[in-house]
Amino acid sequence: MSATSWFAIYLVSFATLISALGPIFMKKGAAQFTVNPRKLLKNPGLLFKNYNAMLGCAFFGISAVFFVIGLKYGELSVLYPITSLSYIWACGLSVKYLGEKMNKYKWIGILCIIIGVALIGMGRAMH
Amino acid sequence: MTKLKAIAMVVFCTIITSAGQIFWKFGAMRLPDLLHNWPLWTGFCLHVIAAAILITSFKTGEVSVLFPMYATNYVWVSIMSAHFFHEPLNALKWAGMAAVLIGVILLGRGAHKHTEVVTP
Repeated sequence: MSATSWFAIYLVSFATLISALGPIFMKKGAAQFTVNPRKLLKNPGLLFKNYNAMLGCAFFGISAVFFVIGLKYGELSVLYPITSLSYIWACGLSVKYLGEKMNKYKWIGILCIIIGVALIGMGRAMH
Repeated sequence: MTKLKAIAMVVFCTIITSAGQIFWKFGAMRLPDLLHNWPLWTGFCLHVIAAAILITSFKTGEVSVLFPMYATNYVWVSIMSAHFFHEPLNALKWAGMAAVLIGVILLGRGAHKHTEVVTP
């Protein structure tokens, strides 16, 4: 594989770690919301003061930038399934930091999603 | 908010996100125009709305259930790309989309009923 392909793989792999942090902080931020969504519509500033939620969005946004760059320079059939690694990292982090528990349905579900994303990536690479 | 409502919110959020990505792809064609690049700004607004919905869904949903459901984004992007950018849908894509949807259903099955809201 060419050097640019390896660069893309490293970039996308790194981005999956960052993107897994996004939902963790978003969940922490969501817990701080005691207002109902309608009050949020009237006063959107409340959302920006929620530092956990903003941090989560920042991680998500930064990882998205890395994904966009990386996906340009590599094979989608390889990179797409790598992106779905972020779901595995997020589950590990949620078990460790959010007190969530995994079960066989969740694991098999994630496996199906990884397979599905890999197939979609292969389908896109066929163009 | 029931667990089904949180799942529906995430799926709805992925539809908005994929629409935002399509707008951004159109906006990328208009670069380096920034100020009058309305697809770019529309896409940005859609992403902000999607983020707000995602955060709200996490209030009563588990990250290990809801976050992998974000993969439905790939389903919508595949369908929208077929329509807007003439990237034809082939058997691999259909199989992939089916597998993702099966995964989403299994994740929903695996979601725990009482989700603890984490106090920061």
